[in-house]
Parts: sequence; C-alpha cells; structure tokens
Amino acid sequence: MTFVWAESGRRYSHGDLALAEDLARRASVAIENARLFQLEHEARLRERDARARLQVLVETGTAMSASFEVSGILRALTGGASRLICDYSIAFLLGSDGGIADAFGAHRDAARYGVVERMARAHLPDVDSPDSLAAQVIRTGEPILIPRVPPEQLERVMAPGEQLELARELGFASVIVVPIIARGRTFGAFALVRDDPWPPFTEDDLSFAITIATRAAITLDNARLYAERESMSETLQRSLLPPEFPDVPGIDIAARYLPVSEGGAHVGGDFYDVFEADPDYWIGVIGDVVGKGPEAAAMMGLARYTIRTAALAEGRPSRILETLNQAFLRQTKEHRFCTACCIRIRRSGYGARMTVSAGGHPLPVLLHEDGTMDVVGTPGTILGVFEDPVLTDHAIDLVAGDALVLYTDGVTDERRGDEEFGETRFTDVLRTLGSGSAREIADGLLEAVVGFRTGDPRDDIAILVLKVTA
Amino acid sequence: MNLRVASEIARGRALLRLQGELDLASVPEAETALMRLEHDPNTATIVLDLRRLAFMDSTGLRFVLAADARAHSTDRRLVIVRGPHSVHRVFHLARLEDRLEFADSADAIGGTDA
Repeated sequence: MTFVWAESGRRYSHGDLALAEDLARRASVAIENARLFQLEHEARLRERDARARLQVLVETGTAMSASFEVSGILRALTGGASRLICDYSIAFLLGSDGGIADAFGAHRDAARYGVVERMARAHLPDVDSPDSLAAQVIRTGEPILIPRVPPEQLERVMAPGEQLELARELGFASVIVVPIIARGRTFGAFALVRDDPWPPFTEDDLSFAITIATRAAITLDNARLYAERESMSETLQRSLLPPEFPDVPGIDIAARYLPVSEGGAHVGGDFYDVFEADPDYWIGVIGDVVGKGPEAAAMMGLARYTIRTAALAEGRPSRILETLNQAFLRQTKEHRFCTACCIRIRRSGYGARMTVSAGGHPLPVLLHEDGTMDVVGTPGTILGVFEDPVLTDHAIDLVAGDALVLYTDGVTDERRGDEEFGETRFTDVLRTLGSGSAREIADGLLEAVVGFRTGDPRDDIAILVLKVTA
Repeated sequence: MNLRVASEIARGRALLRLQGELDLASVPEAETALMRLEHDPNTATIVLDLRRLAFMDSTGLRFVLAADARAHSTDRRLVIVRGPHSVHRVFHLARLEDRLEFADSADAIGGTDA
C-alpha cells in the first residue's frame, strides 16, 4: 500500500505510518474476506451447477430408457443437453451401411427445434469428409472441443447454402463433438453448440457431454440387444414349427397357428409337429407350454425335440408323453409345466388307426363327414409336475371322410367381453365343417374363433387337422 | 385388471376369494394376496374359493399348483372350492381332481382339523 500527498508539502509522520499500517491491515482483511466470499460464491455456483447437471443426467437417462426407438433415445439426449449446457445440440446417427443416416436436434428455445433439425438435415456429412467434425469424431472415436470457432472454420464445416445460412442464424461460437459409443460399438456423434453471449465450453462441459452421450449409447445398445432377442425368439419359434408336413399316404394334414403378439414380436407357448417315426407309423403332436417369451420358446424346443427323440424308441403315445414329463421335471424350473396331445398314425386296410394320449391337454375331436363327432380319449395328468402321471392310450379307427381335430386351449378360451368361445361354440362350428378338407376345417375353426373375439387375443391358438381321404 | 381378490383369516383358516379372471395379467395380484395369508404362521388351512371365477388359464393353474406345493412344504392343507364348469374344466383336463383337494363350499371346510 502506498500513500502519496499530492498537493500539500506536508511530510509523513510516524503517526501517519501507524495509521497507514492500520488501514492496510483492515483493507487486507476486507480484501481477503471479499476473496473468500467470491470463492465461496463460486463454489456454491459450481455445486448448484453440478446438482443441475446431475439432475439433467438422471432425467435424460430416464427419458432415454423409456424409449426403445432410436429416434426417441436421441431426442431425449439432445433435449436434455439443450436444457442445460448449450444453446442447441445435434445427434448424428450412423446407419447400417456405416454412413451418417439421420440427425436429430434440439434447441434451448423449444420454438427453434425445427430450425436446428432443418440445418442438420440440410446436408448430412459424408462419414469420410475431412471437414465435418461429426465425421471426424465417428472415425477416430476422439472427442473434439473448440472453445472459439474461427469464422472460416464454420464455412468449412457447413455445406454452403441453406445449412450455412441456418448455422449463422443459430450461432456457432463454441462447439463440442463427442462420439456416441458404448461396448465398442459406435452409434454416431453428438454435437453441442453455444453462441454468444455464453462463455466458451470448458473441459468440464466436455466431460459432461461424454457422460451423457455414453449414457445414450448404452441405451441404444440395450434397445438393439432387446430387438435382436425379440427377433431371435421369433426366429426360434419359426424354426420350431415344421415348415411342411411329411407326405402321409391317404391322409390330408393342415395346421393353423396364431401367436399372441404384444408390442411387436412376442412368443407364445403353443407348438405342433407331425413326423415319420417309423416306416410303419407317423407321430403327430400338439402342445402348450405355460408362460410366454423366450423361456417358453426354449421349453417348446425341449418339448418338440424330446418327443422326436422319444418316438424313435417308443411308439406308444402315452410312453412318449411320459418321457416328456420326465424331461420337464428334470430340466425346467418349478411348475414350468406343459400340456400335450400325442397321436400315432398307422395306415390300415379301411383308412387309418390313430392312438391318442393326452397329458393335461384338451382332448381331440373325431369329426365325421356328416358333422357328427366324438371326443377321443380320457384326460391325462398335466406334464412336468408329478413323478407319476396317469396317461392312457386310446385307439380309434378312422375311415375315409373322418378327421381328427387337435387344438390348444386358446381356441376355447377366446373371449368376447365376459363370454367365452367355449366348448359349445367349438362343437357348433365343427358340425358345419365335417365335409371340408383338412385345410377348410382348420381355416373354418380359426375364422370362427377370430371372428368371435372382440379384444386383443389372450393366448396362442394352434389347430392341427388330420383327415383320412382314402 | 379383471380380477378381484378378497381375503380373510378366521379360526386358523385363511380364505382367498377370487372373482373375475385369473390369467397371466392377474396372477401376480392373486399371488401377492396369497403370500400375505401364508405369512401368518397360525393358518393351518388355506382355502382358495374359485366359485366366482369366470376364467382361468394355464398360468392360473400354475398359480394353484405352486400354492399347493407351498402348502405341502409348510404342512398346511390347501382346499379349492370348485369353480364354475369352464374353470373346473382346466383341473379336469389336467387330471388334477385326485391330486388336489376340492370342496363345494367354503363353509364345509373345518378350520382346525388340519
């Protein structure tokens, strides 16, 4: 601290010095206090800022997780960032061909969302472009922070014409571009832009951008895995259904299958199969695994292949179902049961002999050409629950014109409001179909059930018809 | 949700009344209510009253089988008050009439003879 007498010729005294020292001390305390206050104020601002960032991160994460659509996830990302740390942001999405396929934008000012997206989509950069910051980040995986964008760089980065004009209108003073990458998979790039009078982006802002973009990438990757799993279970299910039936002389075979679908692909638990087990006979089966989804699909696979394998060693349907019961007891979780109806088909001099066994499954119906019918067999124990199921074989002889109709409970359980399709309607419909071919019977039954219901289907529907033609 | 669940505990007997539809969507609700009843160590008998159940599918059947298995493992008795034809048909087709205990009315079931 220095004191100068400007006008008078007065000299400093010892008393002045003491006063000066005292003033200097007081001033230094005041300055120190002010500095501390400033530090504390800054710390408090930083803390508030950090809390706000955390809040936005949490909210954006939640919004992204709520969506399984790529566009929904990227809109949550741009919307979240533009609420807090930039004027506007753009997410560039890589397509399956490795090029930049789309862009999603958001602005702090909701009214300017459209302008941001129009600017970004006016010219999607080529992923090999040396000038595009998004392309560079996608290629290298390295984030970019440009605190002050030189005007000439803006002209290089933006395509001339509409894009450049809109970019100038929106402003482009400071920019961050980070990769949208997780688990080694790059989904695109995320650009955040500030215009004056905001201060330039800092390293702190860059780490926040990386955090939020990584979060988006993980959500995108989860959505991708989910979609893959769904399509896998659909594929698995298709592979579990026989693409075509074997040629059984004198017997016309048709099947109809209507799986329940919830929110896109969804796998139910019905299955059926017809195959040649021996030069002398064929095995037909229809069944229902309790539950839905990929686990049920795996159980269907277990059921179908167990039956195919068991049929090589044992021709009696009840014994085949006993093997299936054992397989389910040993290999599935508690109470993961299934129901099945198994038939052995042999040609005979007058038509066919069919031996029927049911385990917890609706009994098949023998439909005569004149529309009369009989329920075949006796109920057997549900499969996969008890060590000692009661399963019986029941043989019937079919002549030309007779059909055996097998179905799953989705047929009779179908509902219209509080009313059930039920056994009575089932019988009434079949009565009108006696003279039809296997395909006509299966179609007629399915149409009646689907026409009956009003709401969404509640269960898979499977129908298998074997009609003796000669 | 088209299921209504009512429960009561009296004289060592826990009663779960299910009304409406017992299927994939509503089983969790029935399960929660039943587990709450099972939590009471003084209930020697558990009664599932299905008389007012309009619909039951295989997931409903799985719920009953699991309840029966739990009852056995805790030395309890599980009694099912028979539902209407369409509901009882599920037990019939699964051939469970000899393996589960059925009754025609909840009142006929003693509470302390387990």
